Amino acid sequence: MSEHIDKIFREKLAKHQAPVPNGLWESIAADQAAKRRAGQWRAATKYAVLLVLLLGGLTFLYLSQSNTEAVATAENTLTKSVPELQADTETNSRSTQEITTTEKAGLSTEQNAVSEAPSRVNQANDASKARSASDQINASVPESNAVVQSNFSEETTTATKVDEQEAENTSSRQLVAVDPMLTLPLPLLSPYRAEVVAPEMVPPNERKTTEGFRKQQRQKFTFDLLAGPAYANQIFKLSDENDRALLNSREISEFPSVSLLAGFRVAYQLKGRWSLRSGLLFTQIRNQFEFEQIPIDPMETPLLIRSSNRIRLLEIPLLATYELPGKRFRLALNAGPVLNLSTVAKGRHLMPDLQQPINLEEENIYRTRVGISYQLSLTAVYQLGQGNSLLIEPTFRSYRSSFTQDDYALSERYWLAGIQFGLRHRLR
Amino acid sequence: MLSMSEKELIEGAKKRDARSQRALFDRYAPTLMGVCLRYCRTRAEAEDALQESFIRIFDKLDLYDFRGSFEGWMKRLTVNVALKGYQRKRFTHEQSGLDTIPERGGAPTAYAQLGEQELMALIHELPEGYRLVFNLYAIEGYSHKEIAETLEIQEASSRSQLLKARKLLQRKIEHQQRIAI
Repeated sequence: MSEHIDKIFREKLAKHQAPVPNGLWESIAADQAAKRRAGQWRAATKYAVLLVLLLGGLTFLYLSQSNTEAVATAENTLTKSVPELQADTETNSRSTQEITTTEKAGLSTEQNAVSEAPSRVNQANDASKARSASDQINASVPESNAVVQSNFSEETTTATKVDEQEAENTSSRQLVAVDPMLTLPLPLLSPYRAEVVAPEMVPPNERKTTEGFRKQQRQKFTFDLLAGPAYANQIFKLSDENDRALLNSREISEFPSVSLLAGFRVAYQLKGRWSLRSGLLFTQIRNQFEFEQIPIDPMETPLLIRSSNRIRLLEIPLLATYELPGKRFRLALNAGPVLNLSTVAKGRHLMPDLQQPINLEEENIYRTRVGISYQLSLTAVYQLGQGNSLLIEPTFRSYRSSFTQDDYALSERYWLAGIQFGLRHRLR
Repeated sequence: MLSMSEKELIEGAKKRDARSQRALFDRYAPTLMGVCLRYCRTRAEAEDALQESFIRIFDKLDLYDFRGSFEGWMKRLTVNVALKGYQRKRFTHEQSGLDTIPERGGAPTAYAQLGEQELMALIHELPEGYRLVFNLYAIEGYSHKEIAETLEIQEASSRSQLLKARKLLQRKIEHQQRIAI
């Protein structure tokens, strides 16, 4: 009997269904939408961190490459100076040989004079002659010695002077060449010292060329053309708790889609590494709208209404740019306000009391100007030549004020994170 | 959308796709509401339990590996949520000493022709402990060991409460039969 009771209850209640209250799904969907947003934020943070790490790695590689190039230049300078040093050494050895020859010649002269002396002695017949001859001999030996010595000292002095001059030249070259050697183990300290050439060592014709290059003026204007995808994060804020149903209905029916950033900029080069950038930007914030319309007849299939909501903005950026040093590859940091000229919203959104979505154009809920936003971006520039460069620019922009009118129940703000690709041209 | 298979819906819901989640909710919410009503004392409590259950289902959906029945997996999760609510409230009731045994009787009907609503009413007339053990054992198919672990009671208590629940239900059914005759 007891098992029979179990069976009756199991058979009839295991598949038992009960009506679900209205509005329960909206509460679950609001929770899921919040979690979805949190997930997107986490993903955006993860990608931002990865991007920063990637750019950091590229910057590190770029700096390492610059140092390697500087070290290579220093090594070239040293390699070039080695033959000169060898030539100097040869000159020195040659002068030493000359000195040795002269010395030998002087000594042989002395020896000749000494060897000539006995014959002179023989030639002298009397003692006085012999004495005078002996005196002459004595006198001639020191004389010949003195002559030899003076010749030797003159030669030596000349040789020493030549040596000193050569040594000066060599040492001055060595100073130029050796100086970078000291920085070789620590290339980050001053790798560019290796390229410094003492002005007196530069040949006059080369000096003219160098001076001519230095006098060349760079154009101060550059033009940028940029475009790329972006993620626009929608932030709703409720002013009155009674309007929570509207917040829930909008949060569950609107999802971020791929937004677009595009623009044309002109930059003016200031002193140092600073420049100012302005132009015209076009931004299109896109959100996917999805709503499942439940038909009155329960036998009919629910109708899925889907559209793309677009908010188009025309803006003027006022950016300050600081460019990091580099050759072909450079990095620049841009920051500043962006002034909004016009805002147009098109699409649909859901009202909680209606079973049909309403058009944004019909409802005057969006402002025509949304004020000032702030932009921060990092530009990676790769020079192609002839004044043209490729640009990659990760961009972050935050809109501080609401896109909706003050009398609308929800305030709607955005922040954008995107990556732009483009071209830069410098006037020549 | 209705043409989407259960697997596609689950895959979509795992990716937090709102349409797939909504479709799963529409498909299984009435069944799970029935489960919640058996375990909760009031409809309001059952609605809360159902909402919390779906939130947990969507959060833990990645753990479902398509082995076994998806409905069974969801039911088990829902039962756990409903029982957690019971365990939270049990302490309050013990403190306040409230008598939770309902006074209402079921509608008179023939023993063999008891409908779902009548059976639900009979279950709701049981004392809370009896009801939970009976639900878990007779309808969900839990063993006494599992019930003891879930409700944090002794296996012997589970057995004795099941026997008492059966006796009470039998008596109530017979009583209703006598009234009907």
